[in-house]
Parts: sequence; structure tokens; C-alpha cells
Amino acid sequence: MADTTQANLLTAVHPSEAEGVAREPLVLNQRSLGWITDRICGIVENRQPLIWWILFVPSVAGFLALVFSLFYLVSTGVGVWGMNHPVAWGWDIVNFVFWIGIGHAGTLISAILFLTRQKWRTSVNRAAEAMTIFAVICAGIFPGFHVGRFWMVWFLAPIPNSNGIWQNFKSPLLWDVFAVSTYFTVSLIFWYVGLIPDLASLRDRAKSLLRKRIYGFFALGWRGGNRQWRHYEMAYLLLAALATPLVLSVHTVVSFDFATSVIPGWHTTIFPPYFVAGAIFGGFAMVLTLMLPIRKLYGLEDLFTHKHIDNMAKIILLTGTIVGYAYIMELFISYYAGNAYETDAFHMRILSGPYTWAYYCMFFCNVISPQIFWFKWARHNLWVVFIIANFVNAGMWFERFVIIPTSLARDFLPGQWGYYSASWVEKTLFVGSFGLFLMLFLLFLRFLPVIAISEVKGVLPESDPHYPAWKRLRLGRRGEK
Amino acid sequence: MSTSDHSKKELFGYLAQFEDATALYHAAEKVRDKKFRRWDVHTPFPVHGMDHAMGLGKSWLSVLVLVGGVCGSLTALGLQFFTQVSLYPTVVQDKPTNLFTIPAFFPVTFELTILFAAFATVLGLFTIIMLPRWNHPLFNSPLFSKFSNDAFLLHIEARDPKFHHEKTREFLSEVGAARIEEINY
Amino acid sequence: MAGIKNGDDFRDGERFKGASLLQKLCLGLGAGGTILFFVLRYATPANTGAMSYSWLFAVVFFLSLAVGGLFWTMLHHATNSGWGTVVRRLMENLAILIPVLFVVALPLLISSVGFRDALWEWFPLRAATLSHSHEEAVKEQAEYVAERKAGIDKAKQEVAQAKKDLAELSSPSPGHRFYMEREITSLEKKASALEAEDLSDEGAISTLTDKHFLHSEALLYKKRGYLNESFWWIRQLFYLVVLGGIAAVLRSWSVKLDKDGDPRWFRWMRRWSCGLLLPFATAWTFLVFDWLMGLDYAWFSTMWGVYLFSGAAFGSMAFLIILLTLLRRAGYLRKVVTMEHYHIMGKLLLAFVIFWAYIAFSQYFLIWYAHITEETKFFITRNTEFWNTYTIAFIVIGHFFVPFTALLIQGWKKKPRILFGISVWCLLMHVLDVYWIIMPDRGPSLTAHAEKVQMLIPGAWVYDVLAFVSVAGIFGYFLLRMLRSASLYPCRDPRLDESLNLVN
Repeated sequence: MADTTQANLLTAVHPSEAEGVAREPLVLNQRSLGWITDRICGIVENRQPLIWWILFVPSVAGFLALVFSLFYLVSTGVGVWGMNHPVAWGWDIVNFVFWIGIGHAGTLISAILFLTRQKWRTSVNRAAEAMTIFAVICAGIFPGFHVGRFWMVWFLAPIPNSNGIWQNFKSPLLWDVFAVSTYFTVSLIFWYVGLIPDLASLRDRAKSLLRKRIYGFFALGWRGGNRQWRHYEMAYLLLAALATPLVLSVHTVVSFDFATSVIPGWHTTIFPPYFVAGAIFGGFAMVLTLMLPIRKLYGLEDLFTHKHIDNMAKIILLTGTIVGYAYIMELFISYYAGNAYETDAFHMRILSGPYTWAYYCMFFCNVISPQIFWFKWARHNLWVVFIIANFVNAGMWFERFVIIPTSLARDFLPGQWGYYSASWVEKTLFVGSFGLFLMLFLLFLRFLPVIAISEVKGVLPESDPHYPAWKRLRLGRRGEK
Repeated sequence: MSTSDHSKKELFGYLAQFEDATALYHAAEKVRDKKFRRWDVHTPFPVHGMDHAMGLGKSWLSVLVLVGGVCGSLTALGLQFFTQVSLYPTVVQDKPTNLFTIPAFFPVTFELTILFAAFATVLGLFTIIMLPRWNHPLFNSPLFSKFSNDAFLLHIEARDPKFHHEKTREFLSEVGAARIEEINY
Repeated sequence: MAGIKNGDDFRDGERFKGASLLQKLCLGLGAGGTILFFVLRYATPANTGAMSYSWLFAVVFFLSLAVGGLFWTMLHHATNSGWGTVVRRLMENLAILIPVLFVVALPLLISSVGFRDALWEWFPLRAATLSHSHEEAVKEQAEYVAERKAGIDKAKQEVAQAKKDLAELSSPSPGHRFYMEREITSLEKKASALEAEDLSDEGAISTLTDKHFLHSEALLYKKRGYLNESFWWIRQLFYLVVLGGIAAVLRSWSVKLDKDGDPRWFRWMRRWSCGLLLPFATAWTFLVFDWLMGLDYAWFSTMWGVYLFSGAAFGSMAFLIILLTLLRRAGYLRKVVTMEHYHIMGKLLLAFVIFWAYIAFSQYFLIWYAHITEETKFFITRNTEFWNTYTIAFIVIGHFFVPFTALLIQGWKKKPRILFGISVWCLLMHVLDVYWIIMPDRGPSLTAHAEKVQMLIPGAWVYDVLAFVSVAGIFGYFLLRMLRSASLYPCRDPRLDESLNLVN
């Protein structure tokens, strides 16, 4: 027995290299360190392709539309929005939750995947973190203007004032202020700390003095010494460890905005993890939506490989199913609770209410459509992945829509029932926020490395100082020396 | 580069280049064993296990972060108790205005804990690794600018008590340096 | 570096021997304790109610460890992990105890033991309400029938009277006769219509039963589609098949892989673990709905399944660390498990301390903040008298703050002795968590109709200890048997290299 297996070992493929077992390389075609630097820095150093301009011009237009409608909103008053009694929270809060949710995947990819030692994160985390920051900027617009008198927005901060009034710290809305601003700050710090070594790369390659000075300024004089790296790595680990519970807390606080109330359809205990799972779900979809074209456009196929897309599709499948679990729990408990208001709220949501179409859109996009990712061919077909990712983007918007206006439109008394539809101002703001997001993202592509160069280098097999021993082991098994 | 013409230049140290991470790792072990003090390796990415090879301990940054976090918690709790219980008590949603409202203060406490800890991390990091520092003798070397691309470098400063003009150079080539350069101030 | 371990050198695995005395002791404790427990049950029938909670507590605690073991196994496969291959067999051995624990749970499920009705009030209440409603319905229907019959008699009398009146008329005019005859025909029609009505209609009785059911127990009536005995049994079967089945299949493939080293088994385990995560989650969620949330059928929380899942994964990881340390102390697994594995397990324990606290706090917080009558009951009970101190001491401080602080220290996670101590603490806290979930319901439930409602049943803790020791004995016996039955680690797993040379 022992002899035959020994013989098999030498002739056949060793089980650790068998199909479905062997780890796929994170960087394809055995690219060198220099190639990685050239390819990623090249995006910033070379002229942008035409398509960049084709996308940039409309996004600036969208941004201008945003500015215009905000101006119109502030100068006229929030009455220009379609909201009224009983639906006092409409597209504004839907968009806020939508954008903040998108932001979460960025921190998640960076922080949680870092803590769980998922090395494939290195190709995606930079773009995802940038996405986080831009999405939080977009998100912040909506509650900021939702308060009505925008110039009084400083009332949100606990600043001693002549009226002697203090904020109500028992209010979920104030928690939101703290959660979102902390989230933005920490995400920015995390992103910047991650950028430092790559800024040094750009500095050291810069041909013009201006570039050298600007990148050099932001690189802070990084020298890549191990006496720096060891504290840097610790700082990165600590920031990841801080950012992970932070992501959970931010969307948890957002879910508290609804769940601490007594409105049927809003108050349910599963909201915190359900919102977090939903945010991760929607965020991964947005990362795929952004990264698939970038990969193609800038020739990053060897760095952002099928393995990455496959993993992200699987996470979408998993989180989509978790979100489905939460939908089913809500429905089940609304039946099981036997509470008339609960039951009616969900009855109206799925059967008899005015917004049932939104519920079915949401359910199809979020729960049904990602199930196609059970199949490998679907995860490997970029068009399928792209389309499903966009279904998820839409589905997550509908989820917030289903939660917010649907629950409000049917108040406890039938006399307070109403129907809400958005005005052109709200629609322009929504489209404009996409313009702002895309504009910022395109500028990021233009000026900063889209993939974390130093981190990708660190996950190459030959970056491990013990790599030769592994190589010997592998060669030995193949009968070579 | 610009200083190489001068005859009375002051030596900063040697900069040696190695083939790959493995070679640098083993060289670092030997430099460590020689008990050099003022030296460092420069790599495009953090090399796994290099702290051990250089004989460096664990980073103590986490202590600072703990302090930052505790400060954040105390600030938040203080702010909330002071304003909600004594300065401006408001009864909302049937919640008392005393100590038993503490669950409602958790979210903000948590956020400020994280915020202060994150500030402590980043400020502590910059203090420990002494950045920003835009000017450094190493930047005078054209070889050095390759560290951020694909070069694995090691430098030993002339200020090190064990440093010797010739012996250290020989030692560096013994441990496998592919290229050695003098760096001047 | 020559320090790389070659997985091929570990192909023969490691067999667990010894501890036979311990195994016998466990068997003795398990069998003896169980016999004593059930002798006491039948000797002192008055304590049946109190004892039912004791048995549920012991079963749920050990089942949560086994289900947690199954979760860790499935997670390891589904995430395509490599770190934990050397400890995966321990998880599998834990998971395979699920069917055993279902057998141990049988006394709870079979109504004749008397536990089921004491634990889940909706069973007796539903039965009583149904039979009462049925009686009422029969009575109402009987009254209705009597009324109807009286109506028929009356109608017949009217017909007879009309005929008699007609006959008594000596010479009626044609018009008068016509009218009289028409009157008779109509009265006859009415009588025959009344006679034709089916008065023994079962459908009427069931409709009336429903009506009375709704009137006397509206909540239970609304839940009748879920809370009924036949569906309940179907669900119990589903839980056993899903949880037990997955555990059995995954372990059998893993053991087969030990024998032939065929990567096919590896691929199957991975594929099926992904696919079966959803049935697994569904089964565990509804199991804890039925067994624990059902202790008070009026209470509900959508978070409940997640809460119990987080506790199970947490307790199970603590148990795995303890088991691993004991095995290593006895001289096993020394060559394959390193401090790096301890470090990862410590980190996972920390992650689940946090996750558990997050879920527990969110659930508490939302119910506390919204303050809706039907939901707050759960926490009001647990904040009354003895339970208030218990909650703060064990659930808030003991279950979260203590292990959280201890596990934050990186060095401690790499020292088996310290991590062992922390894990023992965590496991103890998991025991107290399960106790906290189940027991506060015991006093108020059992003394609901007494003069004074009590929070605690005096002396009942003795049964809790006895039940716990008995189930622990059974659990320990089968666990040792499973440890013996295969290599202690998957010795031909294709990921063995990776796990042996783990570096954090």
C-alpha cells in the first residue's frame, strides 16, 4: 500500500495540487514586481483613454445638476420635495441609506477581509475604499439638506450656544450624526494610511518636478524601511480592527433610526444585522460595477482576476441569501406575532398595498437574481456578473424604498393614509448624486493608484522569504530536484 | 548624486541591494547577529518575518490606541451625562433622565471610542516612525528610489559604533549584496 | 528555511487511545444520572414541571455545542479555508453528536412524559381550548338543531291547523278556498324546506369551533397554522434530518478521505457545505423558535435565531479550544497543532464574543427603546429580583466584558494555558446564557395560577445540576467514542500542508 501510493505520488498530481484544491495565484502570468508598479502607476501617468472623457463630461453635468437642485431646494424650501403627511421620509432618506450602504463594502473589503487574512482583497481594496469615501460624501448630502434650513446644520453638533440648548443624545438621529461623521473620518484615515507607500512609488517615478513635489508631499517622505513598516503594519491592523466594528455600528445606527420606533414594518429586532448584511451586499455589487469596466479599460486582468470576481460573486450570493433570510423572518414573525398592526403592515407590503410592485422588484433583484451565482459559468461570465451586480444595486435601492415610504404610507388610522411619489427635485438630486460619485471616482482613477501596489506585491508567492523551501517541497513531490 | 563630485563629503552609510526578499531576509539575520544598531532594510512591501530577522520586537502602538479609545469613551460618556442628566434633561420616548438611560448613550460612546482610537493610531504612527520627513540622506541615492518599485535594499549608517569603512563593505558583499553604494549627506 | 513540514509525513494520522476510564465514568454518570432523573420524575410527579425545564436546559446547551461544531465544519469548507484542517476532525466529532442529542431530547418531545405540556404551554392550552371550543360548538349546534326541530314541528302544526281550518269550513267561496289552498301550499313548502336542511353538518361544527377558539384564545387561534401538533412533529423531523444528516455526511466523507486521499471527497465536502448552509440556518432558527421562543408562545423576536446561533458558535469554539488543550496535554496532536492554530481559534473566539454581544445588545436595545407591551415581557422577567443581578453579573459583564478584555491581549491568545482558562470561562458563560434563556420562564409559568407568582422554584436547581451532569455524561461518552473511531486529524486532506505550516 505504502509503496504504491509512494509511486503514485511521483507520477500523478499530488492531491494538494489537484483540481479544486490548489490555490489559484492571485496575480496571473507570474508578473514581476516592476510590471505591477508600471501597470498601476501607468494609469495615473499616461493619458486617459477617450472613454474616461466620455464618462467624465456627463458626470460633471450630473454634478452641476445636483448643485443646481440643491440651490433651488435651499432657496425655495423643502416643500419642493414630494414629501408630505404621512410620508415625511421619502427619497432623501432612501438615498442616504442607499449611499451609506454602498460605502460599507469598501470598509468591509479593507478591514474585515484584512483581519480574516483574505489576501485576494489587495486587488480591490483601494478602489473599494475610495468608493466608500465618495459614497459617504453622497450620503451626507441628503440628511444635511433634509433638516430644512441648511444654514442651521451646525445645530447637529454639540456646541455650547447662547440658547443653552443641548442635543437629545437619546435620539437615533443624533447617533447617526456621530456614526456617519466618525465613519467618514476613519475611512479617510484608513484610506490615506494605505495610500502612503503607493504615493511614494508615484513620487519615485515622477518625471516632472511638480508631480514629484505633490506626490512627495503627500507621501510624507516614506522610505519603506522595516523600522517603518513594522509600525505601519501594526497601525494598519489596528485601523482595520477599529474599522470593522465601526462598519457594523454605522449601519446598525442607521437601522436604529427605524427600528427604535414603533412603526410596524420599521420596528423589528433583526434590523441591525439585516441592514449590515444588506449594506455589504449592495456595496460588493457596486464594487463589481465599477471594477469590471476598469479592469477591461486599463488592462488589469492579471491583477483583478477571475478568482476575485468569483469570490465577490460568492459573497453577493451569501449576503443576498442572508438578506432573503431576514425578509422571510420579518414575514414569518409578522404572521407569528399575531399582532394586527404588524400583520396588516406586511399584508399591505406584499399583497394589498399601493407599493407591492416595489416589494416584488426588491425581492427579485436581491434574493432571486443572485441565486444564479450558484453556477460557476455565471460567476465566470463577466456580462452575467455585471448585470446581476446592477440588479443588486437597483434592488438595494428598492429595499430602502420598501422599508421607508411603504411603512409610512399606511399609518395606524386609515384617515392618515396617503401615497408618495417623488418630485423632479428629488429625482434630479438622486441622479446628480450619481454624477458626483462618478466624477469623484473618475478623478481618483486619474490621480491615484487604483490598486494597492505595495499590498499586491506582498501577496506574490516569491515575496515570502520562505518561498524557496515551498518550491523545493513542490518540486520534490514531482520527482524533480 | 549631486554631492559625488565633492571631495570632502561626509559619509552617511552604505546602501546594499539584494536579489530578492529571501536574500535580504538572510542578510538581515546576519547583520542582526553582528549586533549593528543603526541600519534598516527598505522593501517595496512589508516582508513577512522581517521583524524577527532584524531582531525587532512587537510594535507597541496598540498601547497608544488603547489609551485613545479609553479617552474617547470617557469623553462621550462625560458629554452625554453632563448634558442629558444635569444640564438639559429632556424626557423623550418615556426614557428617564438619569443613569438608567445608559443604553441610549452606547451608540455615541462607541463611535467616539473608535474615533479617538483611530486618531491615536494615526498620530501615534506618524510620531513613532517620525514622518513626515521630506528630507533624508537616503533620498540622495538614485538606487534608493527603486525601493518603491522592486529593489530590496539594506543600509548601515556610518554612525553605527560597529561601522567600519572597509570591513562593513566587505561584510555586506559577504552576506550576498549584489550592489553596494556609498551614501553621502 | 528547512522548517516546512511536509504533509506526506503525516499521512498515517494519529489515533486516540486511552481515557477508557474516563469514558466508563462518563457512561456511568450519563446512564446513572438519567435513570435517577427519570425515577425522580415518576416518584415525585409534582415536580414534573420544574424538571422539564432542567432537561431542556441540559439538552439545549449540549445541542448548541454540537450545532456550533457543525457550523465551524461547514464554515471551514465553505470558505475554502486551509488553516484549520488539523483541528477540523474535532469539529466533525462534535457535530456528529447531534443525532445522539436528539435521542436525549425525546423525553421533551413525547407528550406522555409530561415534559412537553409543562414547557410549551400552547400544547395544553391549545388542546384545552380546542376541546372546550368543540364542546361549545356542539352545544351551540345542538341548540340550533333543537330550535330548528321545534321550527319544523311548528310548521307542521301550522299546516295541519290550516288543513283543519279548511276542512272545518262548511261552504267556502271559491275565492276563499283558493286563498286557503295557496296558504297551505306555502306552509308545506316552508316545512319541507326546514326538514330538508342538514342539521348534522360537521362543517358547521368546525366553523363554530373556530369561532369559539378565536373568542377564547385569539392569539393561539391566529398562530394555529404554525402552532399545531402535526406540523410541529414534521418540523422536529426536519431538524433532525437536516442537522443530523449534514453532520453525518460531512464526517463520513472526511473519514473516507483519510483512507484514500482522493481529492474528490474534498471537493464534495466543499460544494455541499456551501449548498447546505441555508437549510442548516433554517433548521437551527426554527428549532430555537420552537424550543425556546415557544416557551412563551406570545413572545417573538426576529433576531432570536441569530442570537442563538451566535451563542452556539461562541460556546462551541470555547469547547473546541478546551478539548484541543486537553488532548495536547494527554500527548496528542502535539506535532500538528501549533500556537498559530491557538492564535486563530482565540481570534475567532474574540470575534464571536463581539458578535454575540452585538446581537444580544441590539435585541435588548430595540425592545427596551420601543417599549411595546408584547415584546418587553421577556426582558422584564429577566430584570426582576434575582434575575436582574444575574443578568448584569453574568450576561453583561461575565459574558462580554471579561472575555472581551482578556482576548484583546494578543499574547494571551498564543499561550494555550491562558487561552484554556479563558475558554473555560467562556464555556461557563455559555452555560449561564442558556440557563438565562430558559429558566426565568420557569417560575412565572409554573406558578401562573398559584396564589403568588414566583420568580424561582425553590430547590429546582438540584434537578438542573442532575440533568446537566447526566447529559454531560452521555455527551462525553459519545464524544470519546467518536474521537477513538478515526484519526484525530484528517491525515490525508489535501490542505494538510497549508494547515501544518500555518503562519498568522
